[in-house]
Amino acid sequence: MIGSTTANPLLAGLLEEQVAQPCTLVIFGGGGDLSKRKLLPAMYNQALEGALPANFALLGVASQPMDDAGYRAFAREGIEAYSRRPLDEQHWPDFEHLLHYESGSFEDPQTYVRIKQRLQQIEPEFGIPGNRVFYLAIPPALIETCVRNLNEAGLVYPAAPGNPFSRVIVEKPIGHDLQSAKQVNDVLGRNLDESQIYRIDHYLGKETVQNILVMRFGNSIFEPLWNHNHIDHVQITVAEAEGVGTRAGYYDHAGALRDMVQNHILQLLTLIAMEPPWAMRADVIRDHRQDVLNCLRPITPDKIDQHVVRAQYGPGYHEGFDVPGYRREDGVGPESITETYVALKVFIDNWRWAGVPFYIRTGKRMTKRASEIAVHFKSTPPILFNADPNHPLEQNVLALSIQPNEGLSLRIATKLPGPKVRIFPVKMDFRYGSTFGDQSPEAYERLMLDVMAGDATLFMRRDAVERSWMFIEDILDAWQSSGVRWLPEYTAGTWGPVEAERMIEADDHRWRLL
Amino acid sequence: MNDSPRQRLQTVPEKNVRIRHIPRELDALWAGLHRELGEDQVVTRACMSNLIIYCDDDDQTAEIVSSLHDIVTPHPSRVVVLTGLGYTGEPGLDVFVSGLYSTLPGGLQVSAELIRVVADSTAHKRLAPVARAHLVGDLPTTLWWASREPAPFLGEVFNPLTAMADQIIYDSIGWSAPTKGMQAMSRWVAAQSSEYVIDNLAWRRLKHWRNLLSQVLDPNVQPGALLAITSLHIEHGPHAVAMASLLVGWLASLLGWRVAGGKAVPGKQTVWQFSVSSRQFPVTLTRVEEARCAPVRVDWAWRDDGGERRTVFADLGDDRLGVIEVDSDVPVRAVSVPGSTQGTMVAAQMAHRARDLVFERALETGNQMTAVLLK
Repeated sequence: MIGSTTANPLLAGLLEEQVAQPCTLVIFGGGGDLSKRKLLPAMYNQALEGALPANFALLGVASQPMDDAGYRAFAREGIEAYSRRPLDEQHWPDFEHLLHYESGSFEDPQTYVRIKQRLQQIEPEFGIPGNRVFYLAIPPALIETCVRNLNEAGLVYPAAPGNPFSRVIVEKPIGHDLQSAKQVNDVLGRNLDESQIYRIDHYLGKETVQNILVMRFGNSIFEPLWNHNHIDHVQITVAEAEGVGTRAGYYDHAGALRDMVQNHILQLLTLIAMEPPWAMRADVIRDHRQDVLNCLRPITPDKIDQHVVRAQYGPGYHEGFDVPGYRREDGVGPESITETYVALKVFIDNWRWAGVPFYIRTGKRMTKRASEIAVHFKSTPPILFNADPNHPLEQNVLALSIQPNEGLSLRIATKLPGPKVRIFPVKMDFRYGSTFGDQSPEAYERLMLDVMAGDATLFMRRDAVERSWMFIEDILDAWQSSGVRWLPEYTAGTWGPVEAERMIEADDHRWRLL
Repeated sequence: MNDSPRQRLQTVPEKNVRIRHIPRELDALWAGLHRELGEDQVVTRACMSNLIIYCDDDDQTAEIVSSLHDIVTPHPSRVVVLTGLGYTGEPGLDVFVSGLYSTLPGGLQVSAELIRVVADSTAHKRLAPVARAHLVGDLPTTLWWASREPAPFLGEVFNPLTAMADQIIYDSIGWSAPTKGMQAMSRWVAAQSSEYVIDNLAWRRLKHWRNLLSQVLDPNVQPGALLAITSLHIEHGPHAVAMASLLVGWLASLLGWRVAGGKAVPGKQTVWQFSVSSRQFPVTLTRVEEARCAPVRVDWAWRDDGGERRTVFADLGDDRLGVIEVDSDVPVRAVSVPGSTQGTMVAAQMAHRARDLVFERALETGNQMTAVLLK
């Protein structure tokens, strides 16, 4: 129903903790892999934490024929297999009771009619005042159809004061290139207000990612050093040990540049490079991140070879077992030239970062799963402790580890005990898991609560999505026009191709060993 | 894939030391462990706070020390445990040092350096100076007043400790004189201006009740429930009258209720009359002997155009709270309430650096409620 929104005085002191508002979560693709592995376990963990609103229900929607009981069994299976916390039999009935299911095709308008009917039954039963969150865990090609049908069926309330909220969560990537991204965003914009759209990037939900802002702007020692005067270069690594697995159908059309750089890594870059925000508000943060994207130096065709390396993994090893090369993976064609690895050297052409290279590398079948941002500071002057050119002092490195172990470390020079002045690097290491005991919530847990609380800080805005595509479009265009019929290979289980080593060595740097 | 259970911290055996040797002995603890490590392993010490804990006696001290794992695992600290009246080998003070740590692939992570100071009946005034001398500089200090006596009742011990604290935590559960304790504590809090962050663990225990009530009685969910209340009845277990009163104080302070009168049958029931918008309604607290030490049932009644309406909230057991729709076929809505120990609550509170004004207003209102009963 649509009615006025009245202030609730009892929320005083509770809003500081991002209280999720009463709502119904509708998951399109509720019977899919993302739901089973991530979304349902995330909601279950939040329920165990007592973080879900008291008035909450979940409706899964998918083409698979199931009833509510079947969906609850499906959810249980996923939670038992993938949840951060084990399933608790005492609490399971309470959570199970929240789950509902509607079967239907996303392309059939009648599905949305039935969804509306179900919601009209569920909402009064669970005391939900019409607020809705729609999670589109569906292939990108279906987003347009789904959003249009949502709107036409009257499932989405207009964004207006006093109306129950309707929010739509869309998984990245948005589109396949700039043009298709604009098309998707146009569809979203025609049917929704921008404030209703939450483009989710699960990387931004990780603790360490959020800690970047605290580290940068909550400590006065870093900000004066955070510029081209003191920073030599930055390395961003997002390495996966697994191959494409069952995602070949998507991945072979995407590749590492689209899948990782456009999808996630450029957002990490903005957090590292952004100017200080004046408030921790969604659009303030996102405006400042957008500024970084706007300053990215385009990689022109004549610079491609010096600034970009792409490759495919060949046969090698993973956890001690032989694994095939990319072209021999199921679902991948023998003549595929989709990159499974990409390395970039990018520049941010603003006052703060002028001349500082940001090296990015990402790929599948690398040595291990690791994501890290390493800030390398300029060397001390070549006098005193750094006077010997044959034994230069190592640069100070501040590294933010995103996964598997979240934390940060600082490498500094220190004197070894003894009568002589001998310098040795020491790494001071801070790990969330060991220092604070418990692991942080999974990214989806945090982000889903943010949506229910109406906090869009960690979600992508339209302008950021399109600017990211604009940046990599130059690279994609150059690749397409190059006529290349094969890519360099790197052995599965290594850190990448030798071409990437040469790219960074050309600047007298080396990839950091993780 | 499910995470493996959290590894419990390991303990360095306690050692009886002289006061002046405390720093040396603490260093020796870690140096000794370091010698047992491999060449490429290190001892890492990351400390976030000082924590001073005051206990009444040896039994309580043992209980508190056993809960330190819950505190220092998420919040590594220098911990000073003071026993106000304990057994000492010699007249005066006895001092012990020990440590808590976790084992990591790269070495050891220190979670706590523990200094335990025991006073006999002649030496409790000397506890504060010992604590003061062994706090880690540049870190916030929390005083956890774990005593069963309200802090102002032991002012000669309490006041010197507050002088070095940034935050003060106490627990009104189990107070021997809860009514007078609430009043004394409320007066003390009101007199402190903005010097300290103050928290009652009973207030923290009420968090889930507050969340539940605020969500279910939201004007957008139950129109009129807050404004048109006709009665409120809270059942609570033994030793929880202060907590239940605090819950009422919270409601009253935020909803503009004014206490108009009250009557108590000690150990059984307390009834207040509140007024709001020229209407009066009763708020009743009833003690239920077999219930646990907390509010266990909240019966909220109000009137709208359709007549008298009620919503009942109840502790369902097994860390669950529920909403029972009266006169309805709608099933009970249950929410999970993660179990917490005193230790986990203290750890969570130590992470708060700002005053909780909602709590302070609730406490002040609770004091007004108490004053009515004492007339």
